[in-house]
Amino acid sequence: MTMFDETDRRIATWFTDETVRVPERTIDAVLAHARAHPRRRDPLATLRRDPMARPFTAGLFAPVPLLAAIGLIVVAVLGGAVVGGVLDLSGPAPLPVPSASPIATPSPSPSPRIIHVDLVEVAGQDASIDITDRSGALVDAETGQPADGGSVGGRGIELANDPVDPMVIVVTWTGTPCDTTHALEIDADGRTMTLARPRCEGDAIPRDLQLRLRFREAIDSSAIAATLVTE
Amino acid sequence: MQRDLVERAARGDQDAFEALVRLSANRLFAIAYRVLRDHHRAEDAVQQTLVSIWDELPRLRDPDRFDAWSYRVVTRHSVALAKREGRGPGGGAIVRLLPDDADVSRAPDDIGSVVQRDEIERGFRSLKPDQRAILTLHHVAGLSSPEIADVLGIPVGTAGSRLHYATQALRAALDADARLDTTTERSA
Repeated sequence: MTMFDETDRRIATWFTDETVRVPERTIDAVLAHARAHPRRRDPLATLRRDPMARPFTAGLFAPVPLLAAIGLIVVAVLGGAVVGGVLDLSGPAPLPVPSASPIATPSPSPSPRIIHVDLVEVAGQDASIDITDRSGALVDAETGQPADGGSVGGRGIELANDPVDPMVIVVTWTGTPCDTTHALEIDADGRTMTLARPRCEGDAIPRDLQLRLRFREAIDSSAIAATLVTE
Repeated sequence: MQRDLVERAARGDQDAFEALVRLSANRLFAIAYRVLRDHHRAEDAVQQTLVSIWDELPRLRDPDRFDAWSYRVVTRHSVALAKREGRGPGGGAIVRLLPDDADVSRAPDDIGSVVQRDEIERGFRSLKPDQRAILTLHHVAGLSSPEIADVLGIPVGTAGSRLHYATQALRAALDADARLDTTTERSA
């Protein structure tokens, strides 16, 4: 028992007997980030999830599903009223007009959304990416803050969940100084991504580029198949 | 006072954010440094944490939850960094602070204390990042099991058992280290 108490005391002392101070350069870097990214008015702020929300609020009672449910009820009530004749919005029904044989027209598929993002490149060179989202699940995208050098091995592209925001996927890939324009395709299933970079001839020092993709709902990075191609 | 700073920083007040950063940076750095055992990586973790806090602060509904939230963010960044870099400089390198032939039995108290700290250092480094994080929240931030549960967003019982197992793991590492020393002495 005494041994346990003594060990506890040693452990507790070890944790508290060392004073560390954060270097001023770290604080400077953070304040520079804040100055470079001033707060912009966010019309959807009240709909965004509280990072300290209890888990149950992420379910049916979360703001977005709740609003969606209310919207569906309103549409259903109005639709029922119109169909049931309670609301006569159209006046007398028009007589059917015979027409020529109908021509089949394909229903339009939803057009992909394209987002352009200027990427941070550690050496300060220009780099950008055009994202084509065919899934409709992508909300927005922004550059990440890559570290110096090239850290991504294997396939040259790496996906990870943001440790703070489960709706954000961080994409990191290896680039070279001469690939300035990139393209990312997100397939309709939302689970397949292809990132294209231009071919870079000659010796070049690899360095990371990083992109933060925000989706409508939490997404698991390991469920996404990502491919890096050089064109 | 902190509540006011949090509210103003959430609205975009840069001065309030700077004051908030200066209030909490050392506290967050102490946690990151304990988890990562490396100054440079702890700097990275704290910088990422404070940048995340600036970016995400408007979403925090209750300003009084700022401390718990900042602990959550720094813990996640630190653990993620520790896992990503694996056994990097702070992950597995074990440094003996005294030469193997040092006569510890006759050493003054301060040397004995260094040896003990070295043992705990080695034991702590051998733990998983999640275990290092939960012990740090308990011993450095002074959080109880319910408070750790709140910070990590896990049930109170889970927090309690994780804290228990992390403590046991550290004890086991210290015991193993002591046995290794005894064996080395006998073989010598």
